[in-house]
Amino acid sequence: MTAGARRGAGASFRRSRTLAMAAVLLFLLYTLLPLWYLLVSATKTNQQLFSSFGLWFGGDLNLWENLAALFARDDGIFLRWMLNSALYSVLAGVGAAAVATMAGYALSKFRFRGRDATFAVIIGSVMVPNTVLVIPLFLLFAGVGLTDTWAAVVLPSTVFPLGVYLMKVYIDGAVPDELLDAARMDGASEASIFLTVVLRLASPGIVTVLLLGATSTWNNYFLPLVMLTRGEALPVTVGLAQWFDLASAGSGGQALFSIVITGALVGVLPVVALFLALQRFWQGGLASGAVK
Amino acid sequence: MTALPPAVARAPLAGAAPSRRGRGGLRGRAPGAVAPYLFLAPFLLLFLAFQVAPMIYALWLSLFRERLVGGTVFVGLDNYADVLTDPSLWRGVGNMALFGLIQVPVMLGIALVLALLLDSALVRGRAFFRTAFYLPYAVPSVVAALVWGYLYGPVFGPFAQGAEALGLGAPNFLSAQWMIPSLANIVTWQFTGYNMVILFAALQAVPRDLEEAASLDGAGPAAFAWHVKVPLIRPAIILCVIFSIIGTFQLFNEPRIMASIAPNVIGDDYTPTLYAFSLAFTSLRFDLAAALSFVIGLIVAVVSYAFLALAARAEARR
Amino acid sequence: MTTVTLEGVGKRFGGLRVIEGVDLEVGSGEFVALVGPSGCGKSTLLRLISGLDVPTEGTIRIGGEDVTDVAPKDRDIAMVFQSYALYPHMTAAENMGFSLRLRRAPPPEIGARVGDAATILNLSDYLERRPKELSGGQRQRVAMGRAIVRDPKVFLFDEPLSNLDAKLRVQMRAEIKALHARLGATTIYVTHDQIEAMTMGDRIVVMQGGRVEQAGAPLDLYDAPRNRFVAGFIGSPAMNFLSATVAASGGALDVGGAGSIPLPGGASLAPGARVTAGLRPEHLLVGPPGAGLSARVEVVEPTGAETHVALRVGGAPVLAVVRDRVALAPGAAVSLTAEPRHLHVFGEDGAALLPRRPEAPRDVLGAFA
Repeated sequence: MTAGARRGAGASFRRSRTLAMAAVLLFLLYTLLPLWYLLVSATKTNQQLFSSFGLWFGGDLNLWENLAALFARDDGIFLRWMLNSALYSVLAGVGAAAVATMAGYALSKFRFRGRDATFAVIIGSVMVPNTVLVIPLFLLFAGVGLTDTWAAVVLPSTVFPLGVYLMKVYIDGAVPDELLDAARMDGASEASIFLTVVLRLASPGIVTVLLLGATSTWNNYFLPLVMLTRGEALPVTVGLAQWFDLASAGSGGQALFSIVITGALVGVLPVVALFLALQRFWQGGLASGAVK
Repeated sequence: MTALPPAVARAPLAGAAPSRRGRGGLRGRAPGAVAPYLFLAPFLLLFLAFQVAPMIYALWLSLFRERLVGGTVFVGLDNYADVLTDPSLWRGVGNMALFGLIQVPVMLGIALVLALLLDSALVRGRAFFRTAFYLPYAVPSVVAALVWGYLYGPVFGPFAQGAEALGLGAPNFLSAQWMIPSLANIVTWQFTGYNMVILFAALQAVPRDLEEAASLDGAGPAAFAWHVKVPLIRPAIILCVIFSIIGTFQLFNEPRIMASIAPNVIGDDYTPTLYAFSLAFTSLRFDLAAALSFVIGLIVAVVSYAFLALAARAEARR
Repeated sequence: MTTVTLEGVGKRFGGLRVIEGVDLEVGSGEFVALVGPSGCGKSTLLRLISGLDVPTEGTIRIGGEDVTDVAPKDRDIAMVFQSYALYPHMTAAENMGFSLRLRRAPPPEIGARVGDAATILNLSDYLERRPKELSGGQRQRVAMGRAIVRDPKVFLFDEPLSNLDAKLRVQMRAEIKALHARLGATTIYVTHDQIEAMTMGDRIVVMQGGRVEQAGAPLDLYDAPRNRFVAGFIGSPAMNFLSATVAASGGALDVGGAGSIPLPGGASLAPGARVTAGLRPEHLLVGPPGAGLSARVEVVEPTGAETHVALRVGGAPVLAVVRDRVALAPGAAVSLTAEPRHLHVFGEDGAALLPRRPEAPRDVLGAFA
């Protein structure tokens, strides 16, 4: 931090700081507005949604009633949806992290024929828009009759080229070559080297990729929408959207609004909580490494 | 330094560090030869199965058509011709182009300014803001869209409520003329923080002594940001633009949610991906849907590479 | 008149005191070298002068004006950084002209001034290259060019040669000195290398632990160091230090059983006092056992023009540097003498105890036949 920025003509610096803080706080307000709205609305009954001002509470708080109604609706299918989302996310996250770590390790610490080509393909595939793949994936799965299964959602989600790249970059920096050579000299097998040395040293990166994979799967809408038709298999995103559609279509769906907004709150909480709790694993450095 | 006694120099060096391919002397086999392929295998298999195979299968399907009479027939590029001459496709592309031209620069502009502000000495509590701004990215886009849908709404939306209370008319955010900005706002809300974090990380890599040298040269923080910081994070900015272009052409979730509350505005072909979806699951024309998926991918690739080429040329001309 | 004056300057970082009570006067056009071991505060002092850091006590004046609270860019000074701090995305020419561009100087003027600086520094062929396409020495010159173009009142150098290899360092030393002679600007130069300081400075300021130990012309510091630290820091190879006590007579020093050295004519000290005797390697004369200090030869290293002889005087290691080859073998017993005027004596607090006169240079051309 330079003195030039710290003091200088004190008044002009203070003015800049005020402006800067104002801009940042304004954007903070913008960022938190919908989340605040979500929180506030989940405490309102349908009546209150219609009658009270959107950004403030409406008299008494009905959060528990809404939650009860949410989990009661359609024989408690919402809970089922939450469990599905959790299952898919965990499976996909763990799978993506495991696969990406192994591949990243190979690309980082070994020299083999086809390494550069593989690397180029992986970088290139990061540019492929995911939605372009969804309909072809559906056609493929339909062709072998595997739609409407957990595999249809989880397996494609474990392919995470960006994760491979991130792990490669992270392992480059976190695992010294000498350590691997020393382990090999001690007679350790490649598998045990990977399990004991690499996994431990690369664990922050692994957790980051796991987190990214899991949240991306939890938040995914298009893929499960296309792959799944049975109500009991849906993740929260698809289920909520269905209810939202029903609610907006009017004619008896009205009562659904408060349930939908409460469901939205509940659907958001796990991901947000996970993200906040694992902040210390978030490697800003991973992002900057990716930029190079 | 005196030389090693000849006897020592001649003796084989026991326990020398093996190269990764191994000299075969340690355990009787070369340790590293097969290992990389084994480690790479799971990813490659999954990649082939779930990224390459679908594309090949879809390509194959796109070359055929089901006829009521005669079953499935090879039609060559007819499906592609149909898709490319379909006005619905170009309407969607047009929407996306308009959307992208507004949304991407605005979002990245805000992200850049925020990143610069956080990077400067002006803002306190930058770790908190970094986390807070990144939060919307963690929110499922479906939830983001439906919450903003409520916010935009004439009934539940605080903007409409507030305007009504003041006796003013609020714009109908869900009308045809407002839909693109409304969608743009949702996407901006979701991704500005994400881009900001990428740009911020890149800014952190700028050497600190450059700022001191610049302050001696007479550059205040704003001049330094403009003349030095921004040019130095060019690669990160380009990366963000590319990702944003890719994201723009993929737009599906948000318009689909909006379609629930504004069905007259968002038709089946509002975006190319929405159109592909309706071709597949409403019209059940999987052949056309497959062809369209390829066409969308191609458009994205063309636009991305065009941008990269432009950026490279601008760099070379300096 | 661009003098630089520091009065009672001090700097604390939280509880840590880094600079204390520094008074310094740099005359207009003078080349002053700030030298000292790592952590002595010399770089911090330079940053205080530049304005990149603010002192916690004291005032700093440039050209008579109090600049203690003035921002760096308004002090009309330029600094060459140890890491050069060149803008990686700009060409050499753009780097050098950056400050002028910020001031919106007309492009022809920028071109002319950059061109002039490039000619002085032999950079004219490299102006369109980016820093990563330049060698270390060239980057260093671009950093200097950036400073020159600003035509500042004061030049500050922060260990600019530390990142260069030895040969290049020697060459750049001469170039910087020549540049100073040509431009005549007030220059403050920080280095940890005392040879650099000795050869380049009009005056040297030796620092340790945040304080100025001594300031003066290089040879003054060599001949008349005020304390043990300066004596040991200036001069290469370093001065030899031997524990001794003042003889009963008060006119000589007893060096732990190895003999005694007479004090220079007329000087006397409190008998029995514990002191440190200082003798530079190049001032020691090696002779057959007898008068002087008895010593045993350990290693003889001929370097061509001189011979470095490592000895032990009563167990303490001593280095002597003698001209020409000498017929000495390890293990030989010898005696060490020196001219009394070359003896330094330091008290228990490190202060020099004998008054010293700087040496007059030998008159090789002169009056005597």
